[in-house]
Amino acid sequence: MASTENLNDHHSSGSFPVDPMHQFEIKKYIDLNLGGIDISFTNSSLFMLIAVTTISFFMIFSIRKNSIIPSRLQSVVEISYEFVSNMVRQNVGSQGKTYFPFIFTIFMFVLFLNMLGMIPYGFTVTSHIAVTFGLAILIFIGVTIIGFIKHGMGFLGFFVPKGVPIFMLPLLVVIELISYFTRPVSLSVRLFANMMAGHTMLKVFSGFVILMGFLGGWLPLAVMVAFTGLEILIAFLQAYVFAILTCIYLNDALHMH
Amino acid sequence: MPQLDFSTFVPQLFWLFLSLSFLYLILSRIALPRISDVIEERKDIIAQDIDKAKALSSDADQAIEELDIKITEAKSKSLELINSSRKKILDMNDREKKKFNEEISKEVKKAEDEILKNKDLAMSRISEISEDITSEMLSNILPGEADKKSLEKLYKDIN
Repeated sequence: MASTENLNDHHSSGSFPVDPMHQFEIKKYIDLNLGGIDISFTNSSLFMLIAVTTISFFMIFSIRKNSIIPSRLQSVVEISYEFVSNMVRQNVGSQGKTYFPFIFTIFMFVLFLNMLGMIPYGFTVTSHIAVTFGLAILIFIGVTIIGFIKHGMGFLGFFVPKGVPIFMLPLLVVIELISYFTRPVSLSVRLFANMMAGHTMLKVFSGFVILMGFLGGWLPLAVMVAFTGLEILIAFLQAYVFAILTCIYLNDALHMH
Repeated sequence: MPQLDFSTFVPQLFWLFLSLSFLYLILSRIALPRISDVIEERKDIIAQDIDKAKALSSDADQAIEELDIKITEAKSKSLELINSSRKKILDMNDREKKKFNEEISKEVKKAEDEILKNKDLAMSRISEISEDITSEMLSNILPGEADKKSLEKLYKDIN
């Protein structure tokens, strides 16, 4: 983050050819207002819709033939289904089945938003803290409600560690509460920072390519190519981490350790 | 940093929850049940096929067992058959041999009897023949007719 701010300074002084943060700008396409609330259709909304449409087509039409021997696309869909299904089973147990569609939705949504960001001229929706925090707080609130529904007020016992001397309890309860309430922050910042840092780095290297010209630009170009591969890995990995942490939080709510 | 432009937060969150709930509805109502149906169906079919294969293989095992039993049965039966027919043949052989031997000994006996008979006949006639020969010889040696009657008498005396 420090380096990107440095580079911003460079840009403002006019020496760096590209603005690495320009790609994150929200552009309003259609001004919309719902009862005084701004719901303008932006590039972020566009890419969310693209993700939803792509996932829906991908998930519905690849499996349309209902064939016993799957086609390639159907295999991919089935593998992603099994992947998330195993994730839920291993981290939440059999009780997690009810929540599998939600976790699958979260995983696919984040994965596609990350991957769409890797397409040139694409917009990375998940590089915005508003979106990742929105997702994280949704999960946080949902999981907390599930916890209270399952255990009633007993869910508060989650914040009281077992086998601890009484005089230590107030301190530990406070620590537990803080760690619980920082969950949405860590969950959202992890995704947002990873996506933003990666895309900024790519932009910075592309700036070096221009800056170093035809003779020197090949080295940063090679780094860019390699980094793009790494970014694709990170795009997948962050979606996976997001989904698996959702599973772990859900497991805490259902089983209280 | 465009991320910290708070004026964009509300539209982003609005579209986020809209698209997320839309996606959730599509996936949970349409896509995921279909996929799980396909996977379940495949699992069922595979399980059925495995069961069928197991049944077939046990059938094959049973058939092999039956075949083995039949082979051993057939072997013992054929052995029995061989033994009994050999015995029959040997018996027949013996019988034939015996019969043949009997016949032969009968024939031999018959021949012996005949020989003995002929011998007796020859022996009974030997005196007559020797008489004849003697008279012939005498008539050749002695001129003048030898008396046949006196010769016979002489002959009897000798004897």
